[in-house]
Amino acid sequence: MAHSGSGSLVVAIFHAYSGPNAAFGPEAAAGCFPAEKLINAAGGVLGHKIVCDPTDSKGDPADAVPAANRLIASTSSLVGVLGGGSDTATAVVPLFAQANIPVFSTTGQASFDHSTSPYFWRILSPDPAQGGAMAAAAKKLGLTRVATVFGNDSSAQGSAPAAIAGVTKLHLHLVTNQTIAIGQLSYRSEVQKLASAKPQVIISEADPQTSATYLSELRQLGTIPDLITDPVSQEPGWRKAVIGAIGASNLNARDYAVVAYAPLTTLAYRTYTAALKTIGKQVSQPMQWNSDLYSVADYDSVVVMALAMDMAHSTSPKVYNTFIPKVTNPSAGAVVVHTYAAGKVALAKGKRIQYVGAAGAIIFDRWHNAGQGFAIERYKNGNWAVSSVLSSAEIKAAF
Amino acid sequence: MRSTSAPSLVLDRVSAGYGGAAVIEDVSFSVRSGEVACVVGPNGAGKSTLLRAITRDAVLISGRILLAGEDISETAGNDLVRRGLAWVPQLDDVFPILTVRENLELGGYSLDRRRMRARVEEVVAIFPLLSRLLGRVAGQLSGGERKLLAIGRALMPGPSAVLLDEPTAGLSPEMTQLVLNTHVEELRQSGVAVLLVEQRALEAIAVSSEVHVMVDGRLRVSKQARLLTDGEELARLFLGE
Amino acid sequence: MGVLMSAIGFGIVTASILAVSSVGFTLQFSVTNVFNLSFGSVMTGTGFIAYALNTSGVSIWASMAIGALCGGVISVALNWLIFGRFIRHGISRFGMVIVTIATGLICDNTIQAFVGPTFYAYNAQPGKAFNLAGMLLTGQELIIIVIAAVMMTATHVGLKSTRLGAAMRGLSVNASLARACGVPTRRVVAVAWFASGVMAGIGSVALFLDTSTFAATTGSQFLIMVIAAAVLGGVGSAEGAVVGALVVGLATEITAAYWNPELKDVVAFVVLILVLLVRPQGMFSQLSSERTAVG
Repeated sequence: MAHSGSGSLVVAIFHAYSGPNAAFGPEAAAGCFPAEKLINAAGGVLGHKIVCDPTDSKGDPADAVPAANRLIASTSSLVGVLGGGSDTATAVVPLFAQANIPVFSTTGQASFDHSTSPYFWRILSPDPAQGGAMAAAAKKLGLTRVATVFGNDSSAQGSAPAAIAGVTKLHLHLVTNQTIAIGQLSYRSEVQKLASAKPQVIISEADPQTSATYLSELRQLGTIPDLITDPVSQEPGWRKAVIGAIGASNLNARDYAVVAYAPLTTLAYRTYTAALKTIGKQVSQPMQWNSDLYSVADYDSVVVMALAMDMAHSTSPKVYNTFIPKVTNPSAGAVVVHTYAAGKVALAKGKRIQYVGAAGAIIFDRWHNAGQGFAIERYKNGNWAVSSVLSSAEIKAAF
Repeated sequence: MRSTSAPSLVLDRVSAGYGGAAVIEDVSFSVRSGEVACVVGPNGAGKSTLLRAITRDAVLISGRILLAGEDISETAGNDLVRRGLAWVPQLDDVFPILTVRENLELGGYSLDRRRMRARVEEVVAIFPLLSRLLGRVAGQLSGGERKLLAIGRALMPGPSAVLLDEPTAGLSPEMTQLVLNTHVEELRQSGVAVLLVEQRALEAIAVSSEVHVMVDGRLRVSKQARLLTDGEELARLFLGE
Repeated sequence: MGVLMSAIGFGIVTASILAVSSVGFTLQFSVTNVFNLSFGSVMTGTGFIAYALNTSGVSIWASMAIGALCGGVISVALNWLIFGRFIRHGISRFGMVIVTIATGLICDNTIQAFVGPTFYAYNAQPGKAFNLAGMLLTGQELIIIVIAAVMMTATHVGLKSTRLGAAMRGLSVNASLARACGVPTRRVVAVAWFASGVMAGIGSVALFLDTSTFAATTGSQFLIMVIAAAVLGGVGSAEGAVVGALVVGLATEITAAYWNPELKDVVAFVVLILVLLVRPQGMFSQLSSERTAVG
């Protein structure tokens, strides 16, 4: 554990560094350390330096709970936490809240959609938003006869209810709605039911093998309709399995991946990536994370904490916590800032600010959920390219 | 009677056990073709170990075993059938899921296919009761029928000697009579040497020509069966008097 | 009616795929009394051998046949190198199960080390679907059904009408008596392992064609269904495995067609448990539970 020198403020990176989710830790670190570097380069917060402190949650509540308790007890200068992914958030968010420490979580769980914990903050969209965005994509693409096919695993079921509800909300025709047992030997009966419902598009999320078996059997009955998929379909393993089953041209011609989207071209983003390049000591191969939305959101989280402290004139977590939405949400007369340095200067002049970060605008609702935009991406010439962006109005209509 | 024929199975000073000390010591006798010899004795006398020594399920410590003039002391258990030795275990003596015919055929596994088919007919001719059982599943036979099948199965490869381990165990008195007086006699008449180990000593002696009384792992007495039909004398021998 | 007929057709396809593997599993178990949980790894291994052949231009059916023969050799080798040694040392039945699990894990992970944690697919065209009495089946599925039917008939005839088959059945119920009959038990056991490996090979290629993709653990993933069909029919009974596979195949497809596809496995295993409640030994098994392993 990195020790805070006298006067420095600790932001804990509370994520898995070991176990199956061992990538979560470095992913969050790739957000925290660039923020630490830029904030300290701008003179720190109220004269204090920010220190990122990695703590291994092991991705398992049984390990994460004692680790969180130790962290709270031993770190008096703890001012904020990045952490609690979907693996541990339910267990550890209440512990940090109890200790009055703001937690910026990356969990996708819908249970936090209406979180009443004053110390819980979430910049990334939860899983249901993904489902709603998939329904909105069908509407945008002009495909009205919709079938939904979701695996019965927890990941797919996170977005399934919102996708199904969204189809109805958007006045599309839900021709069939299937929850399928994953990893089966065959889906012939399911596939035949689907084919006889004659959908124009299938909104779907399932693991690689399930998707491959299902789509291969669907092709045997005739043609495959268009597909609206989630980011799982952009993983190489998923593509390899499904291409093996139905061929690359079949897949690429039909697949519309709906993915969380931030326009990674802004000043805020360029500032982030410039700092990311220089933190090779703290994070190995830092540039592998340069377009990872989780890393980007964690970067924004630390900047937001620092700006809120400046605005509150206090490094006390309990005090600055209530200032968090005041530096992010739009308000009359607020100056839009894209970096910590600019925000600090504006605040010192007594101005109101709105921080629009590397992940885009951060507008917290009353449950401290922000959520960003989504885009439809297609695979062309060996790359994923944005084919259109779903506006927040288009997504909102699905809820 | 072919009691004048040459000895078929010869035990020459056999000692055997299970890895450690000898359970039976210095046992010598022979059985002629077409003759029934029985080994009787009290419980724990070593009768079963004697059979196991011949079938290689017990360790032969010293001595020799000859079958039709050939030394089979070094023959592996798997090869004894081909050397002409067959035996009927006391329990699990048939294949219960196979039909009677299949049991017989499996008994003749060492024969070639055509010979095996012909041999089934020969064995059925020796044991006429089998003929009406051929299509039945062995697991559904009565105790006596089952033992008959086991004996017929042992005779399939055309052995020179057949060992019977307590063939009447668990049978009713009527079935015991049928197995010993009819089926063992039929077996003997087929010309093989029969070595019968029995708990029911008097009944066994009645169908045998030679009797070997075993007590404490040694042969106490060997004599012609017709000279030992007196129950009292037998009892004295058993008790070691 | 249309839905029912197609569900039955699909159930028969699923059953055909499961039955070949289930009979292979159960045949080897009945002869050797080794509950071989590495069977799924033999399936995967042969599936990849067939893949190597298939991607170098051999037709899928020839790849299946050659892969199956390799499966037989692999299976015999596993018994010779590993299982047989433990049996001769008198390992307990439970210990033997652990040995087969360990062997399966070693095989799966070795395969994974070579092929990586990714997915593969055969180069084979399923062909257009035919409508046979309301059952929609592709040419590939029809071939798989025919292969399964031929394999099952050959196994049945082989077990019931040949000396070797009788020896296998005899060995399965009384190994020491089979030895006393002069049955060369080692050789018969080797034949059983070989046949089981061949069926694992055919079953795996059929399965991997059906799932359309496969990875280093796909064989082991479906082993539970293979065993379920075998147990349902009665472990050790080839006919039982065929009937068990049909029950599993029809139960899953009819559930998916008429009710909730999420509950396919649930229905299949509820049927399994109900059957075992009524007949603990399975539908057809005649084996006693007190046999010892034969190596």
